[in-house]
Amino acid sequence: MRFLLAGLTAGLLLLVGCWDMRELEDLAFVTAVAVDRLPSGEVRLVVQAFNPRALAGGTQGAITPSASVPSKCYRNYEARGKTVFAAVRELALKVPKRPYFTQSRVLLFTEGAARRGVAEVLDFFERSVEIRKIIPVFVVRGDVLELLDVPNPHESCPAMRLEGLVREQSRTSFFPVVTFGEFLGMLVSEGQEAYCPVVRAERNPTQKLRPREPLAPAPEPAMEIKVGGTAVFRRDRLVGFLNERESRGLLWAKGKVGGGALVLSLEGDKEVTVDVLRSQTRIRPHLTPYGPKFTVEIREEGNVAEAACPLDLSKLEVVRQLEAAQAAAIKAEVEQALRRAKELKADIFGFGAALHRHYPQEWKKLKQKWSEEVFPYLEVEVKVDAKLRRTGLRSKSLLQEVESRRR
Amino acid sequence: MRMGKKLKDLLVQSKLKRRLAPAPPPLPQEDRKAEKKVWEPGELKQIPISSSLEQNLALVKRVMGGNADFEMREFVLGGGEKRAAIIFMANMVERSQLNRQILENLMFRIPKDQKVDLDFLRDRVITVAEVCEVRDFWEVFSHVTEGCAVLFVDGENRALGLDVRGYERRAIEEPVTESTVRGPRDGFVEDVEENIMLIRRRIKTPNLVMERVTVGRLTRSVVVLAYIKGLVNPALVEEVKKRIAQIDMDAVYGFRYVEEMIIDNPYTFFPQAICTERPDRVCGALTEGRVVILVDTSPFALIVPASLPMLLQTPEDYYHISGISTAIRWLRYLAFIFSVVGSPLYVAISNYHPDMIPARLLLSLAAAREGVPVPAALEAFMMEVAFELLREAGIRLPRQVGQAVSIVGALIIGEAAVRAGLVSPLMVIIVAATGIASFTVPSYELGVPMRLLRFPILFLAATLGLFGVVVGLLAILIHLAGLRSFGLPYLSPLAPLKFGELRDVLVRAPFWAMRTRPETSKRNWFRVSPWGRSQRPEEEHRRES
Repeated sequence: MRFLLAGLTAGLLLLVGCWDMRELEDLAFVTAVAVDRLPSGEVRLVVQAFNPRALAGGTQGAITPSASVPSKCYRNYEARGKTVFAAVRELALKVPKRPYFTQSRVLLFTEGAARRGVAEVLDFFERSVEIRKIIPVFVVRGDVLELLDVPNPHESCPAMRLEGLVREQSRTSFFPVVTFGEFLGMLVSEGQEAYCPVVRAERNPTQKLRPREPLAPAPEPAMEIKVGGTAVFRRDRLVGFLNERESRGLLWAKGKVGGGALVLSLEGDKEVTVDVLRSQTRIRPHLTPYGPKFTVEIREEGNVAEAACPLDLSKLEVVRQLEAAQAAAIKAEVEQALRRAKELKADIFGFGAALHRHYPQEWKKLKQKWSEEVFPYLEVEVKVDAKLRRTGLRSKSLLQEVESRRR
Repeated sequence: MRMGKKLKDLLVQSKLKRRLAPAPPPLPQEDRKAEKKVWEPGELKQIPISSSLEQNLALVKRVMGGNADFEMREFVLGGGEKRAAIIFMANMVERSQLNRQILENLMFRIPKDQKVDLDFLRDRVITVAEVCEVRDFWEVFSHVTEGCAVLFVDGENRALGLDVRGYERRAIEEPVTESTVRGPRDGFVEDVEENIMLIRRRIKTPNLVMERVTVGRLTRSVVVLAYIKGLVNPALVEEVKKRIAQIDMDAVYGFRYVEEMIIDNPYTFFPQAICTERPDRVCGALTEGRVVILVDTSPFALIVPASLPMLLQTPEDYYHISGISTAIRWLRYLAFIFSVVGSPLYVAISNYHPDMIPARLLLSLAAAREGVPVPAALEAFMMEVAFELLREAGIRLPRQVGQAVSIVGALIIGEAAVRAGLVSPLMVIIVAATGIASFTVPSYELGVPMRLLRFPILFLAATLGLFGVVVGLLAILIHLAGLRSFGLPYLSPLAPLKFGELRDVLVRAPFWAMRTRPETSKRNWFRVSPWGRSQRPEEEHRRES
């Protein structure tokens, strides 16, 4: 009796098994999803699917027509449908395996799709269990098919390259990094407009066309991926772009600059470059009889990375002078970004949200007219506390020593 | 035709002739009956030694007659006319000892006109250390078959058993199954006396007790129980003795015969007694208050009670710096777990949870799986079976052929199967890594069940994914938690948690930090003197007892 019971229980385990078993080779791993809208309003979906055969190596299976053409380990598929899900299901007719979205690295919107509003297409992506909330979101300028076919020998596919660019964002801070989850949050929150980075395919400057010679090395690829600038949304529609410096201005105000090169122009056409180490920001609203006023307090630290002018950093007053210049440069970037955002009437800085947090009653009064009447005329004071930490391996600049010898 | 028939007759005749050729001469009526008779021990016990030498020897001949290696030597004792006889098994005695210390003394060293009786011979003439008096024929024959000589003297209704045993033994060699880098190189041999010596050499206290029991109706194998009085829990000794006394079987050829008769849970894969061929390991267990069982003709000793953590320790741990031993011990723990879940985890994750794998790894996984015609679970199963086959083949074969097996295995499974696209290279790596991990489990008895349990878990992983792996592991854990070895919970000191003993489980603490004995020892005095060096262990002992 005991054995019978045990056997039946074990049998129960087996009855429930296997239903979501998927062999790896039956799955097409989608690495990038791009959403476009056709003029008719139909959804056009472009996905990049990984082709493991090309990576498998050896002679069998790789889709290499001839030795001179490098094999590609991905393929891009396009599908159309009235809705996103309809398009996803149409993919099944084109992709030879089951499209599997859990490993997608990036989510892309074409400029056209973004201008029409993203909320209606995003519902599927938020609902689906296969899309992760941590993948970065981009707006694509130009042709998405071209972008997703930019060759790069260092990465297996363009989607991976995009992911790599995101990882290196803090080297320049010229574009924000916005995950899908954050993007959704910004879309639904009050007093904070959504924004996301911009990506496009550009001509590769290192490519030189030369006549084919028998021993010529393989040519450089014609295109490369370029990420830079910010797409600004109002409600869920794309309304304009910030350039790279303005993007960094936005990131200063958001406290998200983790590095980058800050070029300081001193008087007399002298340039000193600071390597930004870290920054912190606090946005404080103040109530005045004329409406809310904001203070953006930025604390920044940096190292001197390059001094292309005579400069003696062993002197304290020089350091102080540089710190002031640094603060001024940062302030200029923030103000430039703010000016642009005001033009677009899109509160991507989240001033409204800050007001909401500090003075909810005041926010309630201003909420309705915030983006049209209040934000474009908002008084914002930017205070920057910049510090120079280290000067690298030398204190006096090389130029100064060269000049002192000449004298 | 006629010729053929004749030839056939001839052949038949010659065959018959050959079969009948060595016909023995007919025996006298009485002897023939004796030869057919089977002497039962009980019957022999009933027969006392008579005072007539003739009668005794006649009986001995009836029982032992026809044995090619049985020897009987009749002679006259020196200094008189008294007859005596000595019987022994030819190949089991030390001849020179028998000649010099017994026969020579008995024939020449007895003063003239001395009144000779058995006590006199024992006390004054025979110069053999172990002598005992024998009163019935069961004792006579048990002594003789053990390799002792038995001396009968005319007119005495007793006999003397003389220990002149001497037979070839294997020399003490390095333990093969448990070799160490820094440890001693001597291992147990088949002879139990030698093994006792190896233990005594290490523990020099009269409190080390060796109790001798005979087990097996036919083999009458010597089983020796060793423990240290005062350290061991007396109830444990009683329990072991009781269980061994209950063994009633024909033959005991090795430790496993004893082990299987006395363990608590007969239906389990896991060893409930530690078997070792290292005297140092045995001594370590003795000082922890455990009982050691030595079985004659087996070069392994049994340590009871055993627990799982003990099976994962090696003697090597105690010959290295404690920090290093700790690190290696943890490596072994990880390998122990990996040896069960290695390939099942791969199957479960790749089949059910590909989203758990980092993208780049997943892509190369997918690339590796490309073109493999069988599902991952079947692939893993095939490789595991192939690996087990190779292992089994490698163990049984002589060393020269064994090399060929490994070459064939490496070539066919590692190289050709991957080239042919039958298995993915990654699967080869995973199965190999799992196999290596199972070999790092120091106890052979524990390594095998872990390898076998991998198959059901592999099955669960293939049908249920990670959930199945967890279910399988939990089932094993529940089973382990329910096992007991002579009353000691199998997972102790982890469950039930005994915090103080973890210093020899989670880490290998330095010897000065391992102050107290484990709780197996009833009398839990300190291993390391807490009062410093001034206090001598003997005094401490006296105070405790």
